[in-house]
Amino acid sequence: MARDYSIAIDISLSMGEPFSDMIPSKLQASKEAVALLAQRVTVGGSRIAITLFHEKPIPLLPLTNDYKVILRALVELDFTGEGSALGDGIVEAVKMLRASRGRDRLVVVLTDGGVTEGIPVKAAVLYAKYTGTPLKIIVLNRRIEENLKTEVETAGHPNLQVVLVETKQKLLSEMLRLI
Amino acid sequence: MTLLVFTVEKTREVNEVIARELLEVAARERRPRGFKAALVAYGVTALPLVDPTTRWEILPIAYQETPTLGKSPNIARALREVIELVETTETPLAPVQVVVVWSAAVRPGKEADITLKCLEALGAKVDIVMTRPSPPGWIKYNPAIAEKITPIRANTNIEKLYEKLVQP
Repeated sequence: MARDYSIAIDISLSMGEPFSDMIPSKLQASKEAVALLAQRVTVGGSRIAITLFHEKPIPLLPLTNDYKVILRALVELDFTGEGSALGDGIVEAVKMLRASRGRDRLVVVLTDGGVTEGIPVKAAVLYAKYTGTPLKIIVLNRRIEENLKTEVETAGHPNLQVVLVETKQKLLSEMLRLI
Repeated sequence: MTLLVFTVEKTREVNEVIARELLEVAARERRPRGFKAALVAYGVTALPLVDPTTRWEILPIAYQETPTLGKSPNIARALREVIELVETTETPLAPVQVVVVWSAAVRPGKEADITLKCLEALGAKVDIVMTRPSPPGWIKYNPAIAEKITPIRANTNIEKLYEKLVQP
């Protein structure tokens, strides 16, 4: 069944660093993971939107099923600035799905888990909850910070998943599980 | 279908009892009939909490569950969020009413007046419920905001105020 995916990618400086087998960077691994998802789902009519975030959210690509356009958007993107406003990234990604009326939808966030500013993550998760949008947060790290975990859990979103990913292979298989 | 956007401050400055009561009245009355409701929360920052829906009962719950959004209310940012919500969810001709709950704890810049006028230019009717009994002296520097204000006094009946503000 065709679905609308809204992907939020963390482009803070720390995403430019290597981690485990994610070489040269976590961001590069994230781009490859999104490209893999796009390749698999767009042929069936599913659409993908992309939001970036560091200290602010940046809506990069509205919903599209044009694989080449998605790929071009991914190729050009690089880590940008200091700060990581995860809450703003989630809110912007949910907003991107406002055009998705009557379709199955999902927000996927790729981050290394640092939160330094912006909208509280709990408030952002509440917005996803009250719009009925399932949310999956993929954390490229060895552990999830305690306060982030608490904020996410206390929102009580029934369709929320937080996944810790330590290798590129695990990241790719998590993306394939979204199909 | 008319959209009613509640734009409610969530800071340490706002009287949350008034804000919650207003949303509870709306949820209880589910009025006016045939209206949709949406909720935007704001403080230093602003975000939509509930996109347009006919599930009025979730408005007070969503507001209550939201953490405080900093100390100073940025009303201009809140109104910008409302403009974005209206533009991305409604057709250009859909009627829109906006009820703002504001503590008037800090003086907004001219940007607030400009954003309010932009919202009105989109055809929205805007009312501002101020959670204090009288406007601060500096309100004269924000004439567009000033003329929309309804102050809340000790004897204000929120139910009657809601009926007066929100008419089909």
